[in-house]
Amino acid sequence: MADFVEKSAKTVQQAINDALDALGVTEDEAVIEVLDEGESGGILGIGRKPARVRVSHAEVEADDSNDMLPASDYADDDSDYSEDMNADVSDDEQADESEAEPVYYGDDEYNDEPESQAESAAMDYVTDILRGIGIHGRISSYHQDGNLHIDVSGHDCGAAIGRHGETLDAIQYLTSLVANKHSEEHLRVVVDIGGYRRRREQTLINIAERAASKVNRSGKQYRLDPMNPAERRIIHSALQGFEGITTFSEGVDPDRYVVVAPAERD
Amino acid sequence: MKELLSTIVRPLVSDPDSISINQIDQGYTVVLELKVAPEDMGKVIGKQGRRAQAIRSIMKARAALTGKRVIVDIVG
Repeated sequence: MADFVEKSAKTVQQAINDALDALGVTEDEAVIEVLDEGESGGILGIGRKPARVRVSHAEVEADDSNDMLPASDYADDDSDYSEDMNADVSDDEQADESEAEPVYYGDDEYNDEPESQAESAAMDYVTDILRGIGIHGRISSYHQDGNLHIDVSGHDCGAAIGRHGETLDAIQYLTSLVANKHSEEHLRVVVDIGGYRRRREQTLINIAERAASKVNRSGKQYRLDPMNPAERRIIHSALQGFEGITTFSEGVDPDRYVVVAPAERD
Repeated sequence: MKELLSTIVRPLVSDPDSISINQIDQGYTVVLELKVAPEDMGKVIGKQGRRAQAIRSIMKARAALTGKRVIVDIVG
């Protein structure tokens, strides 16, 4: 199901219509992902940004009149969805970013760990939610720097990521609440689906570096788009060692943004 | 829809047996009325509605895949 079309247009609706036409499907048969809502710009259209959408064939029948039980959804392809609640990916495995199969270890090591209850509760929770949304995938977890990471890989994960990672952030937030019910110390939980966070981090670093060289050239400060705290942190740390550049945040969440500015010289 | 909402909410509350969800289908729109024990209201709404927002965001993902619109009402 790699069949999708991305379209840009003045408005989201226009972009959706274009994409539906290109794909030859109706709105009912399609999964529509708004990548960028665009901006209409000022009176003269200054600062206008086109809206971008991605449209693909819906996998699920639009008929949802009877409630879908996750079990029946998955009854015929259990093999597609493997999970190992006590799976652990060793630290050096992390350096390897290739698409190699995650390494699963036996469950003998982690059962006795104090955090394992939090870990298995978190794994169960993410698994149940993804199954409920209708996502196929492979789930694994590991501890790194005291954080609990839960990685989901699979095709067609877009729905579980959402626009700007909104759905993924929601899953991560609630999973963190559930995990911390079983943990005495605060446990930071990072959920990644389809490598979204990793890719997004690289995108943010690129944005940061581009902004920094723009500031270096113009000598003027440059304001980035609003970002959530985790994303702002990535920007700040990406530019920390940058010569002649300083960064700070302004505004109030959810519209808080990073400003890249020339460093004061003394 | 109902099952997913229940899946999301159950581990968040202290009294899962008191969860009730009423589903109203209005064409493309599915309204889910979520009721929890009074002492669990805060656990599904959260500070400044953050938990409620997260729950709605996940429900929206499911709805988008089925070509529907979903509204989650938390009723006291």
